[in-house]
Amino acid sequence: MKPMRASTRSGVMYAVVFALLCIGLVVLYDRSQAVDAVRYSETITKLRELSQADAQWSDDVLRSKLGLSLDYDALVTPVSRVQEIRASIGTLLKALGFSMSEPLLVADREMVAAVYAKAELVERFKTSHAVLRNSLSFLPLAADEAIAKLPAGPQSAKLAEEIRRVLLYTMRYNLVPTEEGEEQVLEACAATDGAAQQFSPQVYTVVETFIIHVHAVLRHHRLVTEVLQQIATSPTSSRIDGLIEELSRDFQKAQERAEMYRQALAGYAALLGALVLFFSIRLGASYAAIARYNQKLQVANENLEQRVAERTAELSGALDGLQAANREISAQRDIAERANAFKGELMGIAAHDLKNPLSAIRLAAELIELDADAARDDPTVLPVLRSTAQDIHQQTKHMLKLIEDLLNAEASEQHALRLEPRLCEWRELAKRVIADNRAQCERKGQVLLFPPGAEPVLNLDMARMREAMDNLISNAIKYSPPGAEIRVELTEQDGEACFAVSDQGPGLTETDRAQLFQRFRRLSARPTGGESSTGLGLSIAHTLVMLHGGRIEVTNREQGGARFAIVLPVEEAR
Amino acid sequence: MKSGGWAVFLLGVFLLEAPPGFAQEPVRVLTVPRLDPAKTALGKRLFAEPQLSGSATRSCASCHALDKGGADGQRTPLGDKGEKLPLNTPTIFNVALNFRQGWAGRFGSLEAITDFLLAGSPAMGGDWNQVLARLNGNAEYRRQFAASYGNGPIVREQLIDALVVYQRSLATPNSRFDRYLAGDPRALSAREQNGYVLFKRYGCASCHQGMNVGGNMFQTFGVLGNYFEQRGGSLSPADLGRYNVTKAESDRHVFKVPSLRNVALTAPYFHDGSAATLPEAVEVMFRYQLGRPAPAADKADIVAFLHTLTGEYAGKPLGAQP
Repeated sequence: MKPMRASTRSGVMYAVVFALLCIGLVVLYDRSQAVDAVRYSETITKLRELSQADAQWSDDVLRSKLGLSLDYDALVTPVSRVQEIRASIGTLLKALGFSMSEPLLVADREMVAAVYAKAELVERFKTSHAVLRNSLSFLPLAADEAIAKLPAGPQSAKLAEEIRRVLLYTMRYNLVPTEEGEEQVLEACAATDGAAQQFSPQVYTVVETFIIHVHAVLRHHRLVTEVLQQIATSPTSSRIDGLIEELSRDFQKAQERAEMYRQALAGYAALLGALVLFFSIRLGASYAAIARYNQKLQVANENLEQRVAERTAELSGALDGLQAANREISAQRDIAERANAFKGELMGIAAHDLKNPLSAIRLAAELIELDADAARDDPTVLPVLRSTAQDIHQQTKHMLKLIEDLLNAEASEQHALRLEPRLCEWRELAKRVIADNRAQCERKGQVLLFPPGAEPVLNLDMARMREAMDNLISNAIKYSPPGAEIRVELTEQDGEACFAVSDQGPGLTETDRAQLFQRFRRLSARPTGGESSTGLGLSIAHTLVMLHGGRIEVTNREQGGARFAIVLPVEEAR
Repeated sequence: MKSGGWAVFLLGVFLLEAPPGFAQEPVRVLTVPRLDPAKTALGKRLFAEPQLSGSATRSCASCHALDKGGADGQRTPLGDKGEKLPLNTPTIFNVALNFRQGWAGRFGSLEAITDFLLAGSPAMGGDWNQVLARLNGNAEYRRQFAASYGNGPIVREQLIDALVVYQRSLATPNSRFDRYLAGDPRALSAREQNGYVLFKRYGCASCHQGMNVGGNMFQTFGVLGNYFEQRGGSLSPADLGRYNVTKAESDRHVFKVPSLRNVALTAPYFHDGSAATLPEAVEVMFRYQLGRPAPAADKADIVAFLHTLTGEYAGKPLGAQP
């Protein structure tokens, strides 16, 4: 991930600060708006309506009581209206932004309880009042009917008098209810009942009906009076007022809170305004400066594009050069590193491989030292001395060969990357390599065959390829027994040219195959003519062939011996 | 003393029987509310929907048959599982005019009683989860509910509301008596007019009054005589009436005064369905509620008057409903 640029970072910071300021503003605004005055006044209005409906309700009860209203629908409607208003107040209370205080909740509960208690009272009033009304209106008729049923006679006149007395007392009690009056009625009833028992069952039944209604009047008058008193003292009105009071108190508190927030909002807004002013002044200054610079820029701009194009071209040229140089440097560095490592290896191998011959030389030198003294007296020692000197000569030759190989190896390592290929005929090159090796071959009595075949023309670094080919042929000579037949073939097949050298040496073991092209690995085969070996030749050959985009194929021949082949692609050369 | 007493008596009578023009009639003309037609149509469909009952065999209309005066003609109905229910089916017509619902006035609103009857009583024996699952599984219902109540699954309140709106629509205006009250004297025969006068004079109108000719107050059944003793049979819990709701001794045998609108179509009568015919019911009322004898002719005239309370539904007289 790229590191954030400074301008992006400050942009994000500004956005965060701006968002925080906005959130603060919104929160303050919300708090300052929490109290919905419209809803509040709606609620209060509804409560006042309820208060009015409640008063009207009480009036309607009295109107029914006085017979001014003959149906109770008016006494029912307020109950449902209270329910309606209650429901809507409940929603409004909930909708009011502030949480209800405990006193408000209590006042609400008490108001509802009072209204429902009053509704219950009104129901009892209706029930009793209906009976009272019926019995009162029937009573005079019942009296008349009873009196009419009486047979003629003094006892009848007395009973009729009693009945009339009961009727009168009852009506009076109805208008002026006193305990005395009630006792009077009850006494008169008892007297009437007693008197009526002396008459026939028909007469008694009629009188009894009359008395039942008298009792109904007494009972229901008392009930109606009680209920009316309870209705009159019902606390609905004060409870509604109480609720209004608590509601206003809560509202006031909420309003004060909102006012506080409003002030805070005003302060906050002023602060924001100051900030905006400050930044707009700064912005204005910046704009002026920008305008000035813009003018200059415009002038400069006219040449700028041209200059930019030129510089871009230059820069891209320079960049290409730089990249190329960079690649070169990096390649050089690789080579240097590899060479360094390689030199280390060389030092190791040189120390190791030179140690043995040097020890032999020192031993020979000591022998010569000893024998030189002896030779002064005994000339027969001279041949021994010569032999020892020959040993030294031999060892020195061996060491020279080793050093030569080492230098070669180093050279191939250092200059490997710099092939200088050009088109050449591979067969011609092969002929020259064979010619170089013919002397050594004849020395070992071996036969070197190179039958005619393909004549591929390839892009080759002739010196390097020659080195690789020479390695294969000299190896074949080195590891084949004297008198052996070495066969060199050059073929072309499937877009590949193949330079193969078959020997009659011991072939390759499995271990040999695994470490075939590693440096300083001597394989199991031993030179057959006392030749030296460093274990580098095949590795170098392999490297060179690889650089040419080819490979070295190694196989054991069925009839014995190994076959080494350099295989190169030919299509590129064409 | 004597003349003073009579004066007091006369004053009492004056106050009780206010002169004509001073007080209005105790019964008022029935008016029909305006309601949402879509909800009404939905409620109508639901009202006849057996899926609302536990057994999926009974609907609201099983008991409240519109062609049987909004009731079932049974003494007491059978519940969803075939059990006998304790109370006579009251008419569904003009039900919205009742000040409380149920024989004992247990329910303060149509919503409450609808909720109770659907899932809280053996009448429909329903279960809310089951009923709502059934309705929500019906694409047609979902579409209809969505049209009236917005998208989303059908919920209990919506179902109840639709049924209540439909119940409010079940008003039966334009009875002959309403036309008479509205100023058409020819709407009633002389005998029926006399029946109305007697209805008021005997005191029937003390309880059966208002727009619904009842349904706006409570009264003790047997206030001037022990109805239950004379009726015989064992006293059932349902006979206790409002006492079951309030547990107040004064509410023993107290019931909501039923509406008399369409009463000629809703036999049998009373909470126990004990009166098979209208004359029988009037007889019981005279004996136990008014506590007074009356000539048979008067009672017959009152019965004649009660027949004029049969209104119209969907523009047709109720008795003539198919």
